[in-house]
Amino acid sequence: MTITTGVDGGPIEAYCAQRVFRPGPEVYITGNPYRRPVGSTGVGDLDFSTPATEAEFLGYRQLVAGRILCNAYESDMILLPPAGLATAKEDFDLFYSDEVRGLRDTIRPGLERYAFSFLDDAVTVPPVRTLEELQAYFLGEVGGAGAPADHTGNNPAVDTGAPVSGTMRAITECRHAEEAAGMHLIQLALDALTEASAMARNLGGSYGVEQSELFKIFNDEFGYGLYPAKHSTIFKGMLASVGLRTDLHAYWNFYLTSSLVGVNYFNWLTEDHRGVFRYMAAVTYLEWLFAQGFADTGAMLRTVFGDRVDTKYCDEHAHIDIHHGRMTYENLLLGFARAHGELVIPELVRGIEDTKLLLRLGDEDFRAQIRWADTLEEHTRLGASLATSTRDDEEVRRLRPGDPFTTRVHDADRVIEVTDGEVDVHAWATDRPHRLGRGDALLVPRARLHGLTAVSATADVAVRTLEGNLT
Amino acid sequence: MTIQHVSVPVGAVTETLSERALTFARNPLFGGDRHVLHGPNPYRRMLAPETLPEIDFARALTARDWATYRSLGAHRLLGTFYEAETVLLPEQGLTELRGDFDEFYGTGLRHLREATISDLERFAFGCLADEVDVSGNCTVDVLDAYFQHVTDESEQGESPALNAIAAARRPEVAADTYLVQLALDGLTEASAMSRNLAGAYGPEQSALFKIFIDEFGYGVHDTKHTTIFAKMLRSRAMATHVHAYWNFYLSGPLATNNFYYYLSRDHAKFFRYAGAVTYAEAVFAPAFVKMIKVYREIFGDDVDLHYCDEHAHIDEHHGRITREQVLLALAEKHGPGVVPELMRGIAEARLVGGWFEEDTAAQIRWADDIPRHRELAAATRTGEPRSVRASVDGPFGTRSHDGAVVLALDAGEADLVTSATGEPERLVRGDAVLIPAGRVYGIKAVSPECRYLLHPVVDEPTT
Amino acid sequence: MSRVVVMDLRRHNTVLVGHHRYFVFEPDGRPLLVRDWCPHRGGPLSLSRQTPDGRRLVCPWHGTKVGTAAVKRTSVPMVRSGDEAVVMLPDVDADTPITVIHKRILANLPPEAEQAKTVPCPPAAAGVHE
Ligand code: FES
Ligand SMILES: [Fe+2]
Ligand SMILES: [Fe+2]
Ligand SMILES: [Fe+2]
Ligand SMILES: [Fe+2]
Repeated sequence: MTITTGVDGGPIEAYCAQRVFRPGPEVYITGNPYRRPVGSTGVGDLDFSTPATEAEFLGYRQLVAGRILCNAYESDMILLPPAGLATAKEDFDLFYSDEVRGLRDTIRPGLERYAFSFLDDAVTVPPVRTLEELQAYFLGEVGGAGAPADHTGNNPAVDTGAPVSGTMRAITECRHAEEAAGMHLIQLALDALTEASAMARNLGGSYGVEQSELFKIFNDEFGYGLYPAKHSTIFKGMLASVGLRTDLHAYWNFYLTSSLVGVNYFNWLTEDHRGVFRYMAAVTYLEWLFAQGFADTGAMLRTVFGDRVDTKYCDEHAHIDIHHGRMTYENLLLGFARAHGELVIPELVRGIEDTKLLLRLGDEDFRAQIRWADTLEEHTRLGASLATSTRDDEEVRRLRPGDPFTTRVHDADRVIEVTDGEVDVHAWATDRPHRLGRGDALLVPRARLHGLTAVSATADVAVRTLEGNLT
Repeated sequence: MTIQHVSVPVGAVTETLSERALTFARNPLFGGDRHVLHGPNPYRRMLAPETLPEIDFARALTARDWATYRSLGAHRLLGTFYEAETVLLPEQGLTELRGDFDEFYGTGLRHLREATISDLERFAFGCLADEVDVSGNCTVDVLDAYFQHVTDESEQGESPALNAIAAARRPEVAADTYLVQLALDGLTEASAMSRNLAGAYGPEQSALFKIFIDEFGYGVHDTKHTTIFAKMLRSRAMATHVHAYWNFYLSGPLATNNFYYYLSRDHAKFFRYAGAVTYAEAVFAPAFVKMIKVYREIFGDDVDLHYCDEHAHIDEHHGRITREQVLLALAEKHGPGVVPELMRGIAEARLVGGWFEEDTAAQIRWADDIPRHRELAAATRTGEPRSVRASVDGPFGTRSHDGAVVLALDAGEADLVTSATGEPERLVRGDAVLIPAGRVYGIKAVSPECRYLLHPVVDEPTT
Repeated sequence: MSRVVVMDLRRHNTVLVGHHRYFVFEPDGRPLLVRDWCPHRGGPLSLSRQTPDGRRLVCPWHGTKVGTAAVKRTSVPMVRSGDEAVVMLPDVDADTPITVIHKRILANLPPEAEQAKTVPCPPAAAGVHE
């Protein structure tokens, strides 16, 4: 097979140069599941040859790698616009074309290595060897994560009346709590609108009783073949109830780096079947935590939006994931250990440890984002006061309305100064983006996701790196 | 799983398809062993690497090539490629087979697969583009009329394979041969379908999933279709692990099985898949009704046909629902642009399904009538032979030839194996048998020293 | 209007009506045609096993225990005479496909000696109607 790159440069550049992966003018992408911009010009030149470390987890390259990998994995799924293919047929053809698939297969292994290798160093696998040890380890872990077993010892305990805490509480305490809650739903949407698609990759083949047990979980996710009961359908109901768009990846530009890496992790493990044991354990851990997790999410949403929010999706998971917690624990985690012996136990443990880490990193990323996005006024004042302590590495850009829009993160703290005209800063999905006028300067801490649109006919911005480290 | 550094070939992959196919097949997993049946190890399957160089991969298969060695060799490879994208774990647990698991799913073979699969698919299925045309202004109505026509036709039509079983001298062996072909899909049933479940495409996705629920026996492992298929095999005292009968899969059935994977790997072909699967669901029901009749006739109550019963009636019920909620619904939603694709899928499924039937029927008839093919061998004019050596401990493999050959035993003694469960035919020095084009056979040496000659047939007597 | 379906009980034990299923349940040795629908999420009760006391069915999907009495109450009108059963399915459209088949019914098997150790979650959280 000859891969025609079409442009000079490597296959990553060629992949990113595809029409569907290049940014268009819109902030929110609707009616076309194939359009998913990777970034502005130059993304293809990034060097992914040295794996990202844990310290670089929220770096720009992880964001870009995350977007590319998401596109790669999802081109293995069937995506069709709900209103029919007629208007998006050309993008459909391109997205699934032989050429793009060839490029995908070429770049995927290197990007996976770039994105996931840090797990090898960051995760120490505790010495769990026997089935009994595995049981004790798992129950200890979920207990430690605030989701102990109930009196039966096999179900995650759920307290639907528990006061909201942690990140859910942080959302409710935001000044712009609705935007913060929306941002959380958007991160969930990355996975929820194609819910259980990674799992579907483990349905084919032949592996005995465990295969049937996984199917039972999948069956719930797919609502027993009833479209209104499919989890992705009720998720759309939740989005719509708070005025969010329901098109797949409408909020593509607002997926955080950690969200992309987290979802990609599950696709990676199911796409490379050597990951099957890690996957089974990772899914067990998640399903178990979801039960209380979604009870909390529902409570948070009701606090923020009151009665207008449709929390059926959360209620569904607060209930069904009690079952899924038990079913995955007994039949997948312990089932695989029983069927395939102690040989696979370290890999099962590994899946749980990976997931723990990814959840923690994701939580930190999200909280930092809402903390920043919620206080852009303060960060504008800070930007002004710091404008003199920046380096001399000014990058100047001229923006016009309708320019290709994309969001990004920087690897260092930056100050964005508007030298002419007016721009809107998009730090989360909102109807009221933060407006910067001529002379305003905004502090954008490292790793914070943001995008700019011009409000005036032209707007000039200068971006400079902050001297020293703020965060 | 550790992430190894892999050097990614950038730009053109230089080796030819033949070279890449051969490199893949030469992996130790695919060299076979001395046994006629494969053991319970889903990662090992005989790809007969020593005969693969005979295949000219530069010349794609045509629609008339379904019973050739070119087709057999290519589809064995392709089927292995596809299955490497499903989860296969041995029933007895992985402990002993961990190394094979790592190799089968590992980076080396995966790279080869990825670098090869599109070309191999073009080689194997490119002919469909020539063989099937859909033209004119195709509307939803047109689609439905065509669908009804081909499914009615299939319901009223004959099954060459089942007819061959009914007419066989040793119908039990013939019936087993047919089961072997079904086992190819039956023991991993719905795996291709599972590749069409991921993503987001609305109510049609849910409707397709409904069929899948049935295939998976509602999650109750005892009623999963693969489980009840294994029960059917067991009632015939046949092996039930995945690909025990690998050596006996014919090229037509392999092509049929691969066809659904082919449409499921590359989602640009999704609408063709939807047409094909709707057609398959609709024609399964009457086919299994016929099968039940033939098998009851042969075995009375000594065979467990629960699997067939399940498909005979449930698929009929689903056939109707699938037509409405998948086929016609997709056509209506996504417009006239996709209707020809849906129709093409139906037409291709029908065509490829024909290969399954014809090939199986031909194999049954031949394997059932070896004595006559011994006689025919004598009456056949042949060309310059080539000599092949077989050893008792050497790997056992089966093959076919693109053209007819006369196989003549030159030294020693050997068994001619033509079916999975029938008695093999003992050949001694001087024995010869006509092997018609496309018929699958294996030679199992009985004496330590064994050699045979393959004479290409110049002028075949009418059989 | 009711749709009439005739079953040969020697050959049939399941009726498919569009997306709904009914199965022949014989809790006391007498056939009833009941809905194959677990009240929790519609799981296949026909594939459930009886509890050791024979008074409940354990759904294979999430382990809900459904009382046989409740299952019996879902039975549809049927007149059996010998092996023939005439079923009157209430409120079924004329164009809904109906198919009569034979499937495996696990619910009529004697209770398993050793029960599957599926522990359902507490009914309060599950919102199970029994
Ligand atoms: S559907 Fe029966 S227990 Fe859930
Ligand atoms: Fe879910
Ligand atoms: Fe779940
Ligand atoms: Fe089936
Ligand atoms: Fe089927």
